[in-house]
Amino acid sequence: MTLQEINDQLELLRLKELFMSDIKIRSKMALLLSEECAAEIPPYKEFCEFAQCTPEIATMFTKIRLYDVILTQREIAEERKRLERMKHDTL
Amino acid sequence: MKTGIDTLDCMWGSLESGNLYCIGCTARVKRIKFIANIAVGLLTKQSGLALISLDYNRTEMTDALRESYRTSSAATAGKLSLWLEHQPITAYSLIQDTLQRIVYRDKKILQVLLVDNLIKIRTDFHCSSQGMCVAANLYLLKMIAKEYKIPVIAFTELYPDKALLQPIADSEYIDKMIIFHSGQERVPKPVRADANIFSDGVKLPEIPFEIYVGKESIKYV
Repeated sequence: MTLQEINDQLELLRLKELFMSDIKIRSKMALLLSEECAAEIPPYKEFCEFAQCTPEIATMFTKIRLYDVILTQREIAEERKRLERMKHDTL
Repeated sequence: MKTGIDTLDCMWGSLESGNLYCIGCTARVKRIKFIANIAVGLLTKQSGLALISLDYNRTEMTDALRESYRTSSAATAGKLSLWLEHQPITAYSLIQDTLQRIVYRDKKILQVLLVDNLIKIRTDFHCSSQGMCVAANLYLLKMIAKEYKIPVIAFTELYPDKALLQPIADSEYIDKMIIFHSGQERVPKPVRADANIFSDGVKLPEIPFEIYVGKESIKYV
C-alpha cells in the first residue's frame, strides 16, 4: 500500500468513527448521502462540509458496504493502530 | 424465523438477522391487521418482539393484537414478550432510543423489530424531499438490523406516487419486499428489476383476502 493509500484509509476510518460516534450524526450523514447520491452530484459538497473531508474521500465513503461501517470503538482503535504501523513502516 | 403467515413465508422463507424487509400496503389494505397478525405470528415462533407504531395508538394496536391473538394458535406458545410503543412523531434517533431502552431492560425482547409507517418516519434533520427522507431512513433501518443482528420489518402505506415508491423500490438496503394491493388499485411497478421485489408479477391476494395465522385463517373484508 502506498503512503497515499494509507492516508486515505486513515481518513476513511475517521469518517467511519464520526459516523459511529453519535446517532444524530449518523442520521445526518445518511441523509446527506441519500440526497447527494440520488442527485448524483459528486463532489458531495454538503457531505464534505459536514464531515470535513475531501470529495475523493466522500466518494470512497459512499462505496463502503454498510456492514463495514458498523464498527465498535475498539475495532476502530485497532484498525487505526494497524494503519499507523503500516504508515510508519512505509515511511 | 418465520412470520407464521403462509403468503409471506412462501415468498420470504425464514427471516434472517441483519435483513431489512419491507411490506407496502395500499390504502385499501388494512395495515393494522397485517401488523397484528405478523406480530402474533412471530411471537408464536420466538420469545420477543418490539413493535414501534407511528400511525396506530396503543389502544388500537392492543385491540388488533388481542383480536389476532384470539383467532390464532398463539395461545399454545410459551412466554410472550412484546414491547409495544406508539411514537406519533418518530425518527431514527427516537427508534434508537427505544431500542436502547429495550436492550437495557431485557435484551431477549429484541428478537425482531417491526416499524410502522416507513414513509412517515422523519429524519433528524431537514430533508428536501420525502423520497430522500425515505431513502435515508431505509439506510438507517438497515443499520439497525445489522447493528442489533435482528430482522427488521418496515411496514409502509403506499400511495400510487412514483416519487415516493421509487426510493423504496430502488433501495439497495431492502432485502425483500412485498406489496399488497387490491385488484382495483393500480400500483406503479417498482423500477428496480430485483427478484426480491414482488409486485404485479406475483399473484397477490386481493381484498377481501385471507391470511393465515397458525391453523386458522382470518378473512379480511
